[in-house]
Amino acid sequence: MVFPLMNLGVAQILWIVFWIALVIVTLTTLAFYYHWGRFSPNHLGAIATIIVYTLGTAVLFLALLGVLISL
Amino acid sequence: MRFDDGEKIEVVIRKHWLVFAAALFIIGVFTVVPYVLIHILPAGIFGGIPASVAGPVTAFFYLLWLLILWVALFAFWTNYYLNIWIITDRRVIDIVQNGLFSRELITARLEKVQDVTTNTEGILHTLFDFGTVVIHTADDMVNIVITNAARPGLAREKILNAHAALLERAIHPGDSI
Repeated sequence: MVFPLMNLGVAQILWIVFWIALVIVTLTTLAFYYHWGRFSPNHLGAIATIIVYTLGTAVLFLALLGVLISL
Repeated sequence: MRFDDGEKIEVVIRKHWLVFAAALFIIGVFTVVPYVLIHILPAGIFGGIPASVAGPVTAFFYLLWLLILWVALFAFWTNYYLNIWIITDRRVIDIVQNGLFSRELITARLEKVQDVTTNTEGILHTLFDFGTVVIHTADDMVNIVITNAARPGLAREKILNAHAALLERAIHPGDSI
């Protein structure tokens, strides 16, 4: 029996991993924003946290995308 | 969290910053170790995968690892920052953020507080002044425990002062107005 992923190239497997990561991080991010939006006792702290988190996540996803495109 | 009309916050207790610093340190170690390993391990570790593909694959998984650590860091920061204990002139409010999808809120009336004990144990706890604060209430089921609280002695003093002031107001209701 051949494991189905063995038939795929490396790039295809990485694209699948990329999309799974994107879905998981998006769901986690929504939960994260929900908590900061609703429960943070300090609006400035919440806004700063959300900006830093969003920028960092975007940079990491863009870097992942860059690596995938280079393959 | 809604407060009653005229309810005054006496003290807000958080976990000590060293708790978050420890998590930051661990995440830092997990960031650096794979990076070092990538440069130490031999180039042929990926077996049949050609070198032109192995480099980007390694970079991809390292970036993915950084993404996981990044999300973990902010999940930890959320737990740390939103875990607070608020002592007002009427209530003790214990807000516990257990994870991104779990939040617990316990409220005890200040008049039900019977005793407050603190425990500072260990070198780091003593040097940085943090420890456990336990608020014993008349209800045996509700004992509010604050682990790794910053300045536990001061917290204990503030809670007991607020409790004494509440009793004073109850005995002499006209004095506080």
